[in-house]
Amino acid sequence: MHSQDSYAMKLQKTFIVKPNMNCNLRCRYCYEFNKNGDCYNKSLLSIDEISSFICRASKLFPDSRILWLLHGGEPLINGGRFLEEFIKKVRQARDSSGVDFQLALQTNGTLITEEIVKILEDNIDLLSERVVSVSIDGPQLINDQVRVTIQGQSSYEPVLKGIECIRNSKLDFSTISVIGAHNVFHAEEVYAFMKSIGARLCKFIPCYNFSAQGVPERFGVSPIEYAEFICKIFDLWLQDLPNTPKEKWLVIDPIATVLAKLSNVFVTWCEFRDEKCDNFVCLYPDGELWLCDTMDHATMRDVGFIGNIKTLSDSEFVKAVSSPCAVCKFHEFYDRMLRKCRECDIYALCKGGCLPMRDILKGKSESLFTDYCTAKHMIFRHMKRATDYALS
Amino acid sequence: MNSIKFKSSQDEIQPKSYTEEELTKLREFVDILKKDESRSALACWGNYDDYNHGY
Repeated sequence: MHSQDSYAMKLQKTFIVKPNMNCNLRCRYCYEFNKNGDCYNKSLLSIDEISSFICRASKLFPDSRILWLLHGGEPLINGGRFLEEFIKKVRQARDSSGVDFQLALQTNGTLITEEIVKILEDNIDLLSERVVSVSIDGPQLINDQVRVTIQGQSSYEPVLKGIECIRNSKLDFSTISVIGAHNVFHAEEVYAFMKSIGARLCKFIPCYNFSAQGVPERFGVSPIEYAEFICKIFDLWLQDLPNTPKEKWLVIDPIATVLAKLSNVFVTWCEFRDEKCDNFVCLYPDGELWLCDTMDHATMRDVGFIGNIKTLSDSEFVKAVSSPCAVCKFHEFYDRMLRKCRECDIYALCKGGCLPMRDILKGKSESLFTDYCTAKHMIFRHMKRATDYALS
Repeated sequence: MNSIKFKSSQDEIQPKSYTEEELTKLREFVDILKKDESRSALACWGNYDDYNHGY
């Protein structure tokens, strides 16, 4: 049993808090509904339970630096009061324990109101880089093919209204877009749209939905199609740089991260780093703690499940959070997934990508698994050519 | 500049020509990346600039 003093060491992590898995949208590719569907039956994590979790973390890790990322489901479905209470607990823990706690919010944007923005503005000192991340996949015709309400209606106008509320405030926002069959061949439209709405940072992530036999489903695209989209976006972005004032340059990921890697600059995105899923702790509504939420609950429990806050003692909690590889088999998984990567010519750049995603693809089709790596090569090669010219 | 060399060019997509102006701006962007001390705004969640694997 550890003494309280032995816990007083520095911890730096992102804690993803999913108070509920429910959502007011039914996006047609949603991984939460389709992959971890049973989570939807799990009860709502009450504000008291979350409060206790935050308080416990602050006491057990007094010198910690934790980013509390409110996620879901849709975290704003619980209303402004829930958000306010959540922030209040983070602030109380920070003020009373001296911990460095920050906040971030991932939302579908449809429930952002002036009240929500006011709550966030009032706590701007806690908000990580003042960024609220909003999910949107492109202009209306593209977005509404997939991102629809429970009744199947458009989500576009409510999202734009939410974004407008943020734009009229002191807050910044970033966008996160899923690249699937609905937008993968529309790079020009997607790029122009992201520029038009004034996002600070745009992130494009692939929709790798495939059947057990490796056939695309639910707007899934192949890794090669995704790579071609990113390369096209890179060319559009680069073409646009001379015509755009520097202060309005879009920061696009994975482009910024790839350029940073090619220039030997530090990056934070786990896909491109040695440190991966064990950098995160994800709290689910039933109290379960996992590493990254990309993990498939049905097949990766031994690799990513680290305990349940409702049953863990303090010492077990400390061990699960600070040394997760001691309570699950993530290290073995990590080594297995990266064994071949270490011989690859671009390993220093790529760092093996998203391991849970690669494992899921491997389980479905060997060619998909190979294509994942080919796509990484394509992206690095394409941007390296321009970067080499630029820096030569 | 990164010195990594690719073993083959089989995965290369259609090459594009870049103008001098574009390449100059790209260099400026890379310079921004190099000087940016709050780079956590650019990528994944979290501020991992002095990440130390938990403890």
